Amino acid sequence: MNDMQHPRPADPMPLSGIERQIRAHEQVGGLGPFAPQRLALHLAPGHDGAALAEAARLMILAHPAFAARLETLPGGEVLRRQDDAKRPAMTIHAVSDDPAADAMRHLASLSPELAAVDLFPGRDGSHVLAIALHPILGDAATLAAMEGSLLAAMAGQPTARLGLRPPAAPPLRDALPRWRARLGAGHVIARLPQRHGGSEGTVRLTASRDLPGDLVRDMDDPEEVLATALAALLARYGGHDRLRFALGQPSPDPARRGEDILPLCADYDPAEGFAAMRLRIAAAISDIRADRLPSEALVQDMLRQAGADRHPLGAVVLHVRHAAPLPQGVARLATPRPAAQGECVILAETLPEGGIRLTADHPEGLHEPALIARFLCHLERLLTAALADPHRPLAGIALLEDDELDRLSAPYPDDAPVDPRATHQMIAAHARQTPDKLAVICGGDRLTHDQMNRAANRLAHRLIALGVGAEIPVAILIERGAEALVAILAAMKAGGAYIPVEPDHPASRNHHIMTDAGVHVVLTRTRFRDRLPDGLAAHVLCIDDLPAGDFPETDPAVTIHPDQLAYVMYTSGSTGKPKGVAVEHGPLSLHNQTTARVYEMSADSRELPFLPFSSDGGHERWMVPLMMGGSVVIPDGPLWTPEETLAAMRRHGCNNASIPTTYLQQLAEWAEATDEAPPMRLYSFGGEGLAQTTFDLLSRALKARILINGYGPTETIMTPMVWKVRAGTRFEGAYAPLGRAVGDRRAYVLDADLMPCPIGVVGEIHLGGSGVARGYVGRPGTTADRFIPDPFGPRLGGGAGGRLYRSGDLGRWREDGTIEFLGRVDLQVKLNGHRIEPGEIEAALLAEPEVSEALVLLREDDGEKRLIAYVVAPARISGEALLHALEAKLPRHMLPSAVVVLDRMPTNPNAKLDRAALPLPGRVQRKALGVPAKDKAEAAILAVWREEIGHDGIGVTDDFFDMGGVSLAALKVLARLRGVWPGVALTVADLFDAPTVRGLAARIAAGDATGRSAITLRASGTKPRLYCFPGLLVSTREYLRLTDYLGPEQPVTGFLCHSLNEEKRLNVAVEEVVADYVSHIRAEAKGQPCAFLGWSWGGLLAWEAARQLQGEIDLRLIAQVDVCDLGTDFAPGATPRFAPGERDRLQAELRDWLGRTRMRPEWDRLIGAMDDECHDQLLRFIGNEADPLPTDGPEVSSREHTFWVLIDNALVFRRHRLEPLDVAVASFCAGDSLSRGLNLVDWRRLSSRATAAEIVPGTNHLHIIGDRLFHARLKARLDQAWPDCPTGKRSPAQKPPEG
Amino acid sequence: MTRSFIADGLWHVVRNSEGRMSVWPAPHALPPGWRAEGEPASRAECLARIDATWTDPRPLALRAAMEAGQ
Repeated sequence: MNDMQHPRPADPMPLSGIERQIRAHEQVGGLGPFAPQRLALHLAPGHDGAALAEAARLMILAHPAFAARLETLPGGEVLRRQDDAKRPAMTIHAVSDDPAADAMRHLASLSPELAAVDLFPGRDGSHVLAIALHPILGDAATLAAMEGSLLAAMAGQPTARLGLRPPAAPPLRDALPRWRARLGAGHVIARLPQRHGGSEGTVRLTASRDLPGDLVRDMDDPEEVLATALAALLARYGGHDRLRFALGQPSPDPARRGEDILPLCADYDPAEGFAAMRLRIAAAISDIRADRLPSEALVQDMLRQAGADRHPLGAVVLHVRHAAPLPQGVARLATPRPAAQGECVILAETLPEGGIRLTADHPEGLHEPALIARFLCHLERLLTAALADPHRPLAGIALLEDDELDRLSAPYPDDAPVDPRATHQMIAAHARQTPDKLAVICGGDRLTHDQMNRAANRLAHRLIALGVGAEIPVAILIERGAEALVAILAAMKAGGAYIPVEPDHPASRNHHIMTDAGVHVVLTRTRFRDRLPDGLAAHVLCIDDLPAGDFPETDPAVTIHPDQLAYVMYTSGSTGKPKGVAVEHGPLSLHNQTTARVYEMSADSRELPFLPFSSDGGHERWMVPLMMGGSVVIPDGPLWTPEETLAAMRRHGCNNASIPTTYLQQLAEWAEATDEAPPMRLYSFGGEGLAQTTFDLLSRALKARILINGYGPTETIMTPMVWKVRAGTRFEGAYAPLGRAVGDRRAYVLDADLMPCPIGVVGEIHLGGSGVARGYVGRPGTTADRFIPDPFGPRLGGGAGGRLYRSGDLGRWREDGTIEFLGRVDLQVKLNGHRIEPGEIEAALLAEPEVSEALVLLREDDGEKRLIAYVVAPARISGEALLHALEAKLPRHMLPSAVVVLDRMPTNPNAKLDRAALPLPGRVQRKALGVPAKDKAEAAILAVWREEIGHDGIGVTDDFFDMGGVSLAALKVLARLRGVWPGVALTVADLFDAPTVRGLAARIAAGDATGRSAITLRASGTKPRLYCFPGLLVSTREYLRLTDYLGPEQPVTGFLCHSLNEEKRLNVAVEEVVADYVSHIRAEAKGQPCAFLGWSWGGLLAWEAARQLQGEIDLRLIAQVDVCDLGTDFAPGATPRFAPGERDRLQAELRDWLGRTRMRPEWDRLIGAMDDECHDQLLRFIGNEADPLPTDGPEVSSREHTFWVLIDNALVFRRHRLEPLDVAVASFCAGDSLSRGLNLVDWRRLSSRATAAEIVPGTNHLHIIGDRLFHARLKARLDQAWPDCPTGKRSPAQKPPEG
Repeated sequence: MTRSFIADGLWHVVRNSEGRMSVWPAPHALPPGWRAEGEPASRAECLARIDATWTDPRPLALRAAMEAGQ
């Protein structure tokens, strides 16, 4: 190939890597991420048409792209030849009124031919000149050079002809190690917030924004400035300190395509100013530019590892282009677009009139389009602030403006006037207005408003006599019920602060509460007297044994100051002792009043409050109905069954109920099973995250009009936030939204520097306004720590001097301004540079129908940090299946390394989760039980297993695959066992069905080995069956993840690869290989609808099986996955090239090798079957092998065996002809296979019902079959393939019991 | 969330017109209605100062009302 090094222009040249990639895309379906490159120039009236045509002619002569001719050789290799005869003439269109519109229409309609130049004259004397270029021939730099030539020619300057050089080989060996070091330094691939369950579609959307000229004038180097701003903004959006995105690289040679991207790693320091960060970014840009490699080489290298990111160089890409200035009267109407090699590709183009246009291009379905537009707006804001003060900390730059903050943080609208009365005063008013109306029903107790008020007054006067007044704490140690309500009202009427204490809570906790609060009086019952702490300096009043005394039934004349305490509620902190949260009357009354309006409560309201009195929400739910003159039905025991609860609602005519989220699921399940739910106006719930599945169940089973999800820390008084919806509402996200603030409050999502987060960005939920507690009793420091000054309220129309409560909960604003809950700040973990909210993973697990509880922890085991998920689910659910389900929903960095299934979560005596008692999962390779062999057969098998898996601890009951047995080891084991038991036809199917030594031994003993070629991956389901045809030398286990993704209704059968099944039979024809498969399908699916999937070589088998079964089965779809035609190696007609003397040297090498190998007979047979051309191809193939020829055969899975199978297969392929078929084909190609320029089959040539291939980026030929984006796209195609078949929605009768 | 640049910096002890106390990061402008007291210090030190000085949790208006009532 020496003559290739100095080609004359007319000699064919190989394509560069990027050009091969574009060609490969086009071959299977379209240009993929590579858009046709287009330029349109508008020339104002006054330009002479003839001079223009002449300038265009000179331009066409000057640029090699116009003379390119591409030739495809056998085997798919494409060469480029330069041919002056190909140079096009400019097409001059008819004169029109709107040449610009004509030109744009023309460019948009153009199919990607190689190169075209069009002139559109306007009636007004203007012209539009349009150049369209196939992306394989050039890019922005090429078009810029063409534009330069044209303008030069128009100005009468000479136009130099550009030379075309062959592509240079990239210095891989030298540069790759440096790139691996750069990319392995722990930088996280930055992404923009994604939609829930969103996946990367094939349609792309754009958003754009123009940066004003006065901003851009301050940028001496727009690329450096924009890259720095983008890095800082991505850091703020994603919460990463070390991140990576990709930076566009202009083509080094305008004569050919060369625009590319390189990954740029950035370190972010929140305290640093823009100027300091820019210095580092500038250094990083010079560093990567000096070490430039083609991106496909870097991607190929990264994708070798399974689990690599889909966009390993960067999911966000920034291209910065400096457009040349244009002469007067010339404007650009269209400029070329960079390749869409990422999730969000931002193009920044300087505009001739000043300013920069930002255009962000992103796949449909992955992000909210509005989010992208806002991201560009925030980029501008950050730039504006940073350039104005380059030393100001980047973290302190506001991304949100006040009007956005106002809209996002605003509470439910409520303009009603504030009633100045305290809560108990408003309740007492109803004793005068509707004295005989029922207020409380509890067991056998009935109290009217009047009776309740008189009883409370009598007790209040007693308390006053004991010295109760403003700020004096009164403990209520009485179980939930009518008497507890009376006692609480009495404490408030006396002016005191009530403290609810649950009699059945642990004594140590209750003693702490009463001592800590310094209670002055304890209201209790005689039977709870012994639960009081020793030496408590308080008056104890037993309501069932009150001392003699006559106290009036009239309202005590006590003035309540709005700042005076109403109650102290002790929170059950997860660490440390319970803290008393002190709440004042003013904010409490206001909260209750606004809540009554949001809940649309009235005197007709009758509520069943199921929430316990130890939570403040439980108090809201009796206070509000009573304040409105309504009534409450209080459960007379703590543990009503769902049946009792529903019966009570019906019996007492309740129209509202407030239920803890944990109980709601049970209640709704019961209601659904029995249809016993009474019609209700409203259910409210809260306390925990509510998953969509549970929410759907409530919507369906509980017959309520309105559902309210309440959220709120005790410190912000009861339920400061609610999400109020009609039943049946759907939401995006794992948990039901927390909604928005209630009353005189605002809810904010703030980052760690107290800056408001943009929509979609995770931060800590803060609540401000008047509706917050006074603080913690006796803990001023802790109060100051959690209640901080509110900087936003005064800017948004609120008063000065207010406070914000830091909730410790993570959340993010949704598009509609409601807040989504994501977990606790203190549970947020960091793993491999990613910040992970365990709550998000838990929510994804909870969305699985069988999972009732989930917990995700970061555990450290032998110094290795791992995310472990614990779930409560039926025993038949495997952790592995749940893990597969998660793969479909979560980004890779969020996947736990194990899911442990438990029958219940371990709890400590306080009914709290006992984290320490959670079992550590087995290693990914599970612990061997090591049961010894009981007979000779088991011992023989065990010995083979131990050797092949490389694990001496394996016993006869351990699972082959759990012990780390992979496909390759499986093949070796089977080959060796066939040696021991030659009469037994063991296959991978046997190992699947009996994956233990004991099981396999039993099979062999029973002569039960199947020798089957089919493995049932999922036996049944409502959809038609999918048959998976194997690639060469792969077992069927590779299809397990796919089967899992396709769901319980999709039956799947996998076939075993014949090369694993059979002894080496020379040159077996494709027709014979599929014979077994065909008879299996015929027996099972005759006349039935079904679908095929062929991966790699399996695509050929699927096609052949389809041909043989024509007319016998109802084949709806063939999915062809990365199926390659023979490449240059063995394609008929692909004549190999040898250097002088090379052929003889290779011939000698072959002879020498055949003299040494034990597979000589097999090789002789194979080589003997070759014709001369094929023999030469074999020599070339040997010559291309980097490693010495293998002599480790003939065992299956030896390198030599694989080598033999590959070449044998090539021979089979050479003889096989793919015939056209009338069948629907969905074709999928791995991005990596295209970037390698593999000779992928274009199925559109073989079936008129084949569609263009869907490209799955970020995966390769081997990994595509386990790739979740591929799974999602295949599922969509399968779903389309059976519109008339059941969709997988089971009827309720078939629904399995949940939980 | 990213690392915070305010967390390890200097903080003010602040007080509002109701006598409620809290802490505020020195690099951020003081929110309206709050004034700084004493020298800025670490967050922990500021909280310790508040623990020592904020002995009456009642807002000033309530204190005044209760004293007037006695």
